Amino acid sequence: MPGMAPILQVENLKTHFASREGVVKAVDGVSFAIGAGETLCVVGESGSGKSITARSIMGILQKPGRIAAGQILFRKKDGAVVDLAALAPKGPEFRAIRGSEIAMVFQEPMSALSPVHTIGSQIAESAEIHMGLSRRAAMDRAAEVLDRVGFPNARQRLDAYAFQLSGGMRQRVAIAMALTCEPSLLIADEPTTALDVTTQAVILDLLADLSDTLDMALLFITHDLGVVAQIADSVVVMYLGEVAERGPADTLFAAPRHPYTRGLMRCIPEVGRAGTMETIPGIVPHPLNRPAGCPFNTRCPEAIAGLCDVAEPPLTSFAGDGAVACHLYGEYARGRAVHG
Amino acid sequence: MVAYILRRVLIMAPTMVLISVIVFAVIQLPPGDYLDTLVAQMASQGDRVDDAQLAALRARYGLDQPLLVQYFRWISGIVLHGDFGQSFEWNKPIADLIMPRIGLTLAIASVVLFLTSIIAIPIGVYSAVRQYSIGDHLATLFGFIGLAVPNVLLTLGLLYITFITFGLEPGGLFSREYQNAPWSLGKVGDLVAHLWIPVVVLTLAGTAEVIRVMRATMLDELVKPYVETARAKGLSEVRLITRYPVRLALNPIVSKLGWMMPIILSSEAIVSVIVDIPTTGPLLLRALLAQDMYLAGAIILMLAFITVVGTLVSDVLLAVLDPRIRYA
Repeated sequence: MPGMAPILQVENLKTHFASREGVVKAVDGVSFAIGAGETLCVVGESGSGKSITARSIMGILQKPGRIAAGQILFRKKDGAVVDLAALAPKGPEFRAIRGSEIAMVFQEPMSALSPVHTIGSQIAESAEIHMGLSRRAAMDRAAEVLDRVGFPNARQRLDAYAFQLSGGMRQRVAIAMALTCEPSLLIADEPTTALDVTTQAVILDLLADLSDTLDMALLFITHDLGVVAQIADSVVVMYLGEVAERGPADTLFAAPRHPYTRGLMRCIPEVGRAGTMETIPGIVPHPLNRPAGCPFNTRCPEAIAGLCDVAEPPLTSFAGDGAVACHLYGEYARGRAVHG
Repeated sequence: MVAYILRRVLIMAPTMVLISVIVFAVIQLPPGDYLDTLVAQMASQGDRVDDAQLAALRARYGLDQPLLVQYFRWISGIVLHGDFGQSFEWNKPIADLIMPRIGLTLAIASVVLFLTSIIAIPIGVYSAVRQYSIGDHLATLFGFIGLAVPNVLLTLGLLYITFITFGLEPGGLFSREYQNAPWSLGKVGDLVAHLWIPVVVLTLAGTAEVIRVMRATMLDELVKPYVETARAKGLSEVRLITRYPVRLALNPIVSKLGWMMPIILSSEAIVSVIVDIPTTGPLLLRALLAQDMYLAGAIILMLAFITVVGTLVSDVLLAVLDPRIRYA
């Protein structure tokens, strides 16, 4: 939504994990913004830092992870803008936001729910601590949100346990839990990966519908470009903790700029396309062994020797809100255009 | 839930039958019987028992019957009439001998179990949440000292210290002035002053293990996704940890407490012999030495029964704690 102040603005976020072998720069200078009600997809392979980005925003990094630099500017419902990166993750100010104004849905709906607490009590808990409701009122609220996410017979099933439900129903419970306090930003970390294909589609529709009707921004993390095409307003492609390319979904899909994005696109299986499916050669380098220059240069079919393996490409912006970190579009390309 | 408990109670019956057979077999294992001990004793005092008298005694106690008959006479007496038979040595009904002692033993074991839980569980939780902190290392050190020092040594040490510093003789149950006095606050205090040594020794011995189990389970639970979900709700750390991972980490502890009972009961024997308190341990030891077989059998059987009941209680507690067991 151009012109509107974003609900969340991540600026040069760096999240590092100090280990015995060295510092793992899981997120290394990531920037993006989400407007109210907008759906932003963060795409990348395992180890690209997309989940760590989400956990940095939520303030739930596991040890020894910590935010080393950058800002996470979040606009609260009362209009005030806070830098989440500067708040103590376990402090009361952050806790008042977490679970209430920003909520999160996780990948594995079975293990993400407590096996020994009823689903009702797990959902109601948010309402109790953030909305100050009594136990009884919180349970009413739980039934209400469960009903909202399409859970059949919600009120009667409040005292069911997670292990008594199917995968799809469990994920609805997890979504209901996140929606309890009507957050203005919902972070979903691969919420459909553990589900079967038909259930995936249903959950995706539900999330898209909720985002629309509740005017809730959705930060959706996935490795599945098919999912991105279905729901995204804008896209951030991450590789080795950095943004490779970002932009509005339609332009990014119509004209992917970064060789990595183009590689990912070619990996999508398509009905009717002949031949074997393409893959990106090689594997993601170990984060402690990050290549010099562009992080993707070891696997890039268009890498320029002497440049891409030496200098890190800066982010080049384009009209229409796109940006790409690739030498093919930077100073080098412009220089070549002038001389050639 | 009711069906679950019923099923568990029904399993107890064959378990107890099996235990009774084993107990009976064990008390029959040593060569000879009580009468041999009696003859040897009298011979050492210069007395002689003639064979006719011996045969009469054998017949009276049923010792001339085949083993199977002896077993059925023994077990049917217990089950049908609560009659554990007669102690050869004390010449008293066994039930009168052991019941007060079982009461005291159970009381000590329960206090030990309770103290172990309230000391070890919070320490285990702290150790896991603050892994590798100074507190964690201290708890580990303290726990392992308790585990490594033999109970005998610890008991003697504590006896020595109380004697040297307070001039008390903490042996027995009561001091002389309270021995035959009616119950009063002073008498209760005197009892506590005498019982604290065995309680401390037995508690220390069990604490380390429970700390380690609690710590290890907590470390597993703390990184589980449901903890992350709960954290994402904005719970305070204290509420988060007590409501979620601790709740799940209690399961192995509860099942462990069930089988800690036999461990306490068997370590109790040594400690009680040293501090001279009338629990079942010293009585069992003496009965075994004197081949007072029905007395020994009755004590072992009762201890086994307590263990089986303890396991039942911990199973029921587990079902209360964990719906996955309840609905299985």
